[in-house]
Amino acid sequence: MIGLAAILAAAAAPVISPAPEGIALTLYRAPWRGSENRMDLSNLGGFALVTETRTIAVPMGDAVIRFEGVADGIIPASAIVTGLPGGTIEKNRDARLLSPLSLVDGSLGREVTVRRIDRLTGRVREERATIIAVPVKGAGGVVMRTPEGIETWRCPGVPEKLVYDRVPSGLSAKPVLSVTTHSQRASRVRVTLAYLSTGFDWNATYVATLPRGDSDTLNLFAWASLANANGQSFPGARVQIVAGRLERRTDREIVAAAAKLELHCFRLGTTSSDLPVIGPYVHIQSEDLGRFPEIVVTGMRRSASPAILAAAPPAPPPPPPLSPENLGDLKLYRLPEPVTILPNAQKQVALIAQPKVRFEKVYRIKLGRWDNDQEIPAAIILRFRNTEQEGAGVPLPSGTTSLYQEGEIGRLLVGLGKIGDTAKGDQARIAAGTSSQVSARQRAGGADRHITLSNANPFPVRVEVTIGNPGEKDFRQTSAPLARVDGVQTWRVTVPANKTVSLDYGPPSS
Amino acid sequence: MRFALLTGLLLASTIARADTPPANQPPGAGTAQGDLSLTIYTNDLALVQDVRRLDLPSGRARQDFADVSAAIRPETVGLSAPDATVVEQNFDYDLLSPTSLMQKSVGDMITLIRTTPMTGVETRERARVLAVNGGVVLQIGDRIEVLRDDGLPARVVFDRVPETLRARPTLSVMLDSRRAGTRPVTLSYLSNGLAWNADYVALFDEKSGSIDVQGWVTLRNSSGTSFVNAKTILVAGAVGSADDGERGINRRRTIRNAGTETAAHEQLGDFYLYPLAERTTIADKQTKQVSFLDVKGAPATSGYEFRSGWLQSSDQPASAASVLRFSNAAKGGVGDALPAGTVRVYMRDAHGEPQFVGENRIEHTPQGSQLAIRTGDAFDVKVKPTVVERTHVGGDHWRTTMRYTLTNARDRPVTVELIQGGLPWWWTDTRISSESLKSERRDADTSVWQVPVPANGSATVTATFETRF
Repeated sequence: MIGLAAILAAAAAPVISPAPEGIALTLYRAPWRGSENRMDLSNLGGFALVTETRTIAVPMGDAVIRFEGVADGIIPASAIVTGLPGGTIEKNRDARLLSPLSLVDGSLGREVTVRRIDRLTGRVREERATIIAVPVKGAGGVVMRTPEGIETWRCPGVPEKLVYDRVPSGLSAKPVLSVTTHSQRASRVRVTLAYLSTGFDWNATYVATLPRGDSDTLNLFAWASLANANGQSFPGARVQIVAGRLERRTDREIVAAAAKLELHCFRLGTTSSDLPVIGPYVHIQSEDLGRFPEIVVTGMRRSASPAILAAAPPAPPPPPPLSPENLGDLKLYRLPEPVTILPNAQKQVALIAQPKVRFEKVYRIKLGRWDNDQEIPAAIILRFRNTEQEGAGVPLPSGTTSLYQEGEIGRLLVGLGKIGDTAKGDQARIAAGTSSQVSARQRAGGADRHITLSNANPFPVRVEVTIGNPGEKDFRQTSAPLARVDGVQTWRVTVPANKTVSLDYGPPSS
Repeated sequence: MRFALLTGLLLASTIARADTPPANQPPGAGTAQGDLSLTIYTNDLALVQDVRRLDLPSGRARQDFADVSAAIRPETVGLSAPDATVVEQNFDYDLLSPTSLMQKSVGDMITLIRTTPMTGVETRERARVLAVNGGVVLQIGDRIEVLRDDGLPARVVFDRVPETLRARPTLSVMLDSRRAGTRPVTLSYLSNGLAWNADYVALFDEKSGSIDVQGWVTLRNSSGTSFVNAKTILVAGAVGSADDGERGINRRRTIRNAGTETAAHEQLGDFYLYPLAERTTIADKQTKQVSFLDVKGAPATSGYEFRSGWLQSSDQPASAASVLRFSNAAKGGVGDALPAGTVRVYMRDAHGEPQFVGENRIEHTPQGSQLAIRTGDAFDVKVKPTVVERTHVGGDHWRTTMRYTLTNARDRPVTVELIQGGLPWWWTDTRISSESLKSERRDADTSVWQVPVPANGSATVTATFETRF
């Protein structure tokens, strides 16, 4: 039951749309990458929604429209084509790739030319041959019928090459996405092709800077690093990035990797060879086609990589940050102007710039009742509520943080940490390193405990010591009142400069 | 509800011919396949029925069947031909290769063509293959030599291809025919490498509380063989038995309440059938998509869900999951049974462009079901569970007070389905002695609160559990 129009279309060549005119890219973070992890440029775990606009001359009747120049990482099942007057009858994605193996495989039963060059005289001799066997599932070799009889190609060690008359049908350099449509009349139409593609990722990198001297505000700045591991370039693309974690399911895809052409000859042990040792096969392998090239990072103004932080130049005046808009329960940031995203490249744009965020510096120590007789150093954190009153109040997408201190000798790195997706109103923490100056030691005396907090700094510090587990009963006979923070009994105390303070507490009441 | 299966070409198909290749067939693909029918299941399995017109001689004769699936399960082959009986069926996979050719030539004569170095003169010699064990031992005249002992290339020319060697695994059937003549022969077999699932595009409009759903059938052919001009039926169901612990039989987590409506599709036993409206060619390594569902404006709501483990307590809030809820009932829903597949959810951004907001898998879903699809984490809606107090009351009796702090940074009120899971279900006397909001006990180990959280605000739920653990 095939339409007459379909028969006509079968004769006509497909309509080829070579490249999009307009591209919009929406980048999504790798859903399972923790906020502390940087992007793995060799294996980007995020993805993008690619929305392309293309102008296509659609013929009357049935037609096949081939979309070329789509991203390598396209998830074909996600492709949506809108704007075709006759709608989409069928979407196809063909992943039979042209390769040395598929060339010989597709020539089974066909005539080819065998060319031999005499190494001495340079004389070229050609003869026609029919291929009657090709490697199957990585085993075997090529057997052909020549005017001489039945011969095996390049076996044993004969220098000869196969010259093909044509490329077998259905093979292409890259996987091909096509749709079939049926139009009442010929027309030029603008269609939208939208699809999800792997091989993208983005990451927020926070740079917090403490000004010179004593300050209760910090400068919070964040880069959004956008990476593209696809072989395609996206010139003049309108780019959005989406913050928040999305559910993603693995896609069952037909892998379009081209297999190697391996020729296995019959065993060629000789009287002088140790048969089991000498490789029994003659292997001829084509180039390894499926390898990803290394990603090259270009155009970075300043790296947030910890390795070169001390050498980081003073921050340039940051470009204006992006403002988020709500996309359902996610946050969408729109780059203000079209940008070009190159293949295997990373791009950085300013995401957040909050120059005066009021924070609170706290030394935190976590203790269990059994952590006795050890000096436990304090973690330093800068804590702020993400509100406008405190000088923040913008959504903070998850990413890594680095904290710098401006000082007499320049700008130094003092802390590395992470930040999770932080909504407006949430509390945010920026790690400021571990202090070797402020520490706690707990000693046991029967069921009682004695904690000594020491401060070697020439300035007083605020310390929070959390003791025990959430929900644990109140400790008896505490020498200072304990607060309950998130269910955990917490000793909040200010340790004066170069002094110690102590706390005694008993076992939990029952 | 609107059900559209390739309506576009139905008109044209009235003037149809069965034997013409369709538009998407690679040109020049000569195939021995006949009138093909494919029945494709969702678990990497297909029933192939291939009616070929064969000219059979009278009496016994062997018939080779080329262009069967490369992923054929040969033990499932069945063949029927009028006025003929099957004597035996063979699946030959003794493949033609340089090695097998040489091994099968033991005792036979071959020709060696050698080029003399320096002079370039070609010499030809006839040789008998004595043995092929690790190397090739030849008798040339009255000399015994090992092939290529001198390391020089030598072309080996065989006189013929042994009859039993084949280029591809080949199905051959010995038929005993009572008469000579051309007749249709029906070949049927199961093949792996063909599978399908559904892919859904759901465009959710939060303001109007509705979704547009498009359903696509996605066929994948990784069998190694192209199926030309095949009549195709897709079966929504797993033919493996759930009793046998067959893999791929999934629990249906996305279905909240299984529906009891029957969809308007042809059924085969418990399975719905989705026939493609026209014949199609499914090329090797091809992913093919055909529309089967297009519904506009079905009601849908977005909601939030947070599941707290037993005694889970944290000092930082965690995001609630965003959940899209809709029904596939005929009334107030998508109005069709939904074959298993991936639902990709889109929403329009401030510029009106559809943007992807998450995806999830659904299993085969009978019509009339309530679906709840987790699309991701809500950036602005968070929950912080805290164990406030845990008291050993005596014996194995514990009293635990939990506090759940819910925050909402969105500019509209939301309702979060707060789930306390992991309650010690093996004791049936677990109970909540006091709570700030009425809970629903979903099952022995799960309590659920529907917590309204005001816009840009927060809410707190406290509950005291009496448990034996």
